[in-house]
Amino acid sequence: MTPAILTNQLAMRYDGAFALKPLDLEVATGQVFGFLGHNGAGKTTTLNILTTLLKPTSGKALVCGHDVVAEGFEARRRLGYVPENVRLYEAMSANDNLRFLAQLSGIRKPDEEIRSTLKFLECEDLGPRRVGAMSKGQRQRIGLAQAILHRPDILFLDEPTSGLDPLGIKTLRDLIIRLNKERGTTIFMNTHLISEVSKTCTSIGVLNHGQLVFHDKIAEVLRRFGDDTALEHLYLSLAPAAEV
Amino acid sequence: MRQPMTTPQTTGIVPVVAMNTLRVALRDRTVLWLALLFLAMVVLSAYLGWSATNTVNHIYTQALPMLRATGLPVPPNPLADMPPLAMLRNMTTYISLLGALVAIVMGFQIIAEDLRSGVFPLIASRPLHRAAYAGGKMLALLVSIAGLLGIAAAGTAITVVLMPGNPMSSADWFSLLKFYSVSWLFLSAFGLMAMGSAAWSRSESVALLVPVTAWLVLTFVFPQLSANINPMAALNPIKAMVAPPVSAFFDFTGPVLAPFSLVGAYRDVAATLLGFAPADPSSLGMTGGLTLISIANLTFGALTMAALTRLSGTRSNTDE
Repeated sequence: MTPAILTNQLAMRYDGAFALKPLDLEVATGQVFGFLGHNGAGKTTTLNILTTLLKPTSGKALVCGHDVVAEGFEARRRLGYVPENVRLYEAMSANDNLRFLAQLSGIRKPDEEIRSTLKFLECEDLGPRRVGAMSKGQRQRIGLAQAILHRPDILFLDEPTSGLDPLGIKTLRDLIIRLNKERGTTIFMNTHLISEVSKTCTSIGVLNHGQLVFHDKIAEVLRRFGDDTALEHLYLSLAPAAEV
Repeated sequence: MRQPMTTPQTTGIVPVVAMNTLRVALRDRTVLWLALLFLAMVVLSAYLGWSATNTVNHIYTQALPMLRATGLPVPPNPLADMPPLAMLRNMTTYISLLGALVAIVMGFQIIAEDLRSGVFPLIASRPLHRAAYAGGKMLALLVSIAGLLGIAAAGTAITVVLMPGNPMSSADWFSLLKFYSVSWLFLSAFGLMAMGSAAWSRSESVALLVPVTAWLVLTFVFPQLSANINPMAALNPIKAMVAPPVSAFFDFTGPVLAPFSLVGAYRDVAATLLGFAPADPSSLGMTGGLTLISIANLTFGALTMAALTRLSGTRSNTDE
């Protein structure tokens, strides 16, 4: 089976310095992959390259078998993207925002798909509401809706729980798990929250200073290291805070 | 079950982007207030033109018996041969000044709104070609300027019809239509310039300052350097028609800058269409003026397309 993500010596330099050191990564289809790392480790750069928003300075990345540079259009058809801070047209309703992004994705019947997506996310009431009047959690939900409207094979989330309250975090976590289980969507999630990783992900990768220092299945990690606390120790030993 | 999808075609995406842009623009109060001010000035211009004409006619009519009684020769009415559209002459000034500024703000906002709101990365992550996005934005600009001028034209037409003693022939109506078409082309050049600037510059202040400076240079500096029209005279719809002084400086700047004097070219074409200015041998003429305005649109359109297609997918002015 074609891996959902495959990178080969993928690297990004800014002004000569590596933001992402040559990265070899494979994420199997159907996984919930947690990409761990401190702030500035290169997680967002990686995600921006994989979502075709940035062009790498060297190396290659395939998303669902499509080269993100040479076949960016095809790759974008297969992916959904939720940024860390979901920003939409504030003065427009969620429905109007979603309709526009659905049309850009080539959805034939956008209104039907918007209804079914909001129902799936259990937030139909948000549709007619103005985005500018929404809370962070509600925006995040609409952000998730725009990303899955076209039923992507892989969903990229950048720090999805950032700024959410505990209830918002739990709701979002449940939605991600449902999306993976019910629709078979592969999830690629940037995060620095260990607790989220152990509850949501099926495999993890740890990025430190632009370099992948660990990559394994979560079940295997927990079997070897025990619980969340052990996982935290592992993470801190791989990406020491003093180096950040 | 997956929903059947269509591959988005460039031609299908362009109107989608354009429609959404217009929807967002209609909620932008800055643009709406500027547009309303412009429309008010256009209607006012028609009234002022009619009022000035009426005053001159009134004075002439009152002076006639006095001149006849004193046996002095009676000169012809200075406005007798003036075409009815000439009373709209102030509009060339309003369009080249206020209209161009409205077009600049419109063009700037059309791009800046996506970058400022932070929506652009979401758009860039959708399966669409960047050229289609750029095409949609440009279409929205052209439609919004056409809408603005369409309303202005309707306002002018109503004002002209309602004013007494100002019969319009079908040729006059056609000239009015041509005048607004040329004005649309002229304003589009400034709107496109502002769009390109907004896409090119990461700073909103710089992005707005560049087209405004270009407009100032084209409106006041070029006419002065190419035809010795001082900035105050540039505000007058009627050209001074004074030849520049004979000097090596004007001998050089005149021929070099005149072919790029966009505002001067527009005002000459507009004056010819509205019939209030005699033919000026130093101007580019109707064909030359229209060619310059068209070239400006093509140039700014191409630069804007290049700037938009190269725009980084992560670009968001909220991070500045």
